[in-house]
Amino acid sequence: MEPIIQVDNISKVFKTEVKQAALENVSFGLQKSSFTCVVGPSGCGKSTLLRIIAGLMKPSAGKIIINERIKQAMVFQNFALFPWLTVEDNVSFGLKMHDKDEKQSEKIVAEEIEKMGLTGVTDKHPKELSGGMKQRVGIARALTVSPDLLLLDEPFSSLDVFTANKLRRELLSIWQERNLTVLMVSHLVEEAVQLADEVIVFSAAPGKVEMIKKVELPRPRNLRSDAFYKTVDEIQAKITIS
Amino acid sequence: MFAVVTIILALLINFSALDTGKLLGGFLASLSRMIISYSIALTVAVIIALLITSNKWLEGLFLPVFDVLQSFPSFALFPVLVVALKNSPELVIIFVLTITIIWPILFTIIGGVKNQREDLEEAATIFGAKGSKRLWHFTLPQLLPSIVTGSIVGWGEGWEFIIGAELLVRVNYGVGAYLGFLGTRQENIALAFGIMVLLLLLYVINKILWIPLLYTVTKFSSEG
Repeated sequence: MEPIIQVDNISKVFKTEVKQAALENVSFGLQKSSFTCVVGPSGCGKSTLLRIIAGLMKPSAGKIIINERIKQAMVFQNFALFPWLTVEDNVSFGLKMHDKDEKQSEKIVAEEIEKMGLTGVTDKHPKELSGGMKQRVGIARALTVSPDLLLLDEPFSSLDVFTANKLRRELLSIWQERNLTVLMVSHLVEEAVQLADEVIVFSAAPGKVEMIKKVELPRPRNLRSDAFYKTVDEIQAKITIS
Repeated sequence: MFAVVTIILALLINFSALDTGKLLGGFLASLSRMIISYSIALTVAVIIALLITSNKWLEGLFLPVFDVLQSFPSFALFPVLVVALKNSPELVIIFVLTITIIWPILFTIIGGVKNQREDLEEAATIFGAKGSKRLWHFTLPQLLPSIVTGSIVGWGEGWEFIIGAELLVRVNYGVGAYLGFLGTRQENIALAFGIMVLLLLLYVINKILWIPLLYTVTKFSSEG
């Protein structure tokens, strides 16, 4: 199968006072409708990689091969909601920027708001919401533009354990229902093994692909099974060694 | 409290040489100058701030220049301008008043741009905010708290300046011109009352305009 996106030998050097290599010769492909997690220690360039794929940054070398028509959306670690907008206006932001027909976008926005459980808070501002609710808004905002590729940058790491768990399960069902291709950055190996078809393990400074691990555990995954822990340990060992 | 002070003040003024009609007329004339200059200053400050922060090279070039210019006393421009524009004292005042008001607005907006959250910028870009849509739906709303804060300082400095300017440049109407007239006539009590009324009016503008505006724009200026 042809990959939906191909990362081809990407390197990134930040030109600060001392040159800092963030990524070195990173290559991998994402299959359509796959769920991929990038894990690695902090400072390994995971987020940089996500930003290069999203087109927010240019790589120093290498290229991203991607079909122009692929629609992307992103969910952020610290939510990145627009504080002056209400929940509803945050969710509809992408459609507004793309001049979507008003009636049609109202319908889409109402649907996503209902699906993400935000019905009671549409008139509230981000400041008035809990972390979990904020990230629901973040996810709804991303889904309204009906992306083909959903990029998530440590989306659950500023949430409490219970909220994070609940949202992880919801993300999984969203992915399965909508035929999305998901690329998620995480620093939690357990999270990656719970969610992903494929885990790309990074080593730090500069970020290099240490291992690409296919996770073939059946879904829904049993997070207490030996097979689960075996996979987690295998990945963890790679991270600790490097 | 406010009402009591106003009534007592009004009664006392009755016994002084202060002509409240002239004072209020002058105030309105000065206020009109302020509104014109402030509008020009605001527009120009927003444009300059967005332009120079969009490009490192431009910023490196202009920021030091503006920093020197902003500490240049506006009154020092008067001798030159009065000669150059001797038939239009109004223009001289508007021009120099604009230059006085612009600096705090400009520098506060530049500060605001520097403090923008990077992930919000990224979110705006990813969700397709470009060109004029980005300006109206992202950049300006995000900068509103800085714009209002700078405006409050600029507005205050503007009033400080215009009183002096109306004394220096010969204009017929203006609160500064009228207070100057009372001063030269040595109507000290009337002058004192005049200053009190002026302060009261400025306080009212603050109370009904700037403070509510500041409250509104800062209420939802952060996510946390």
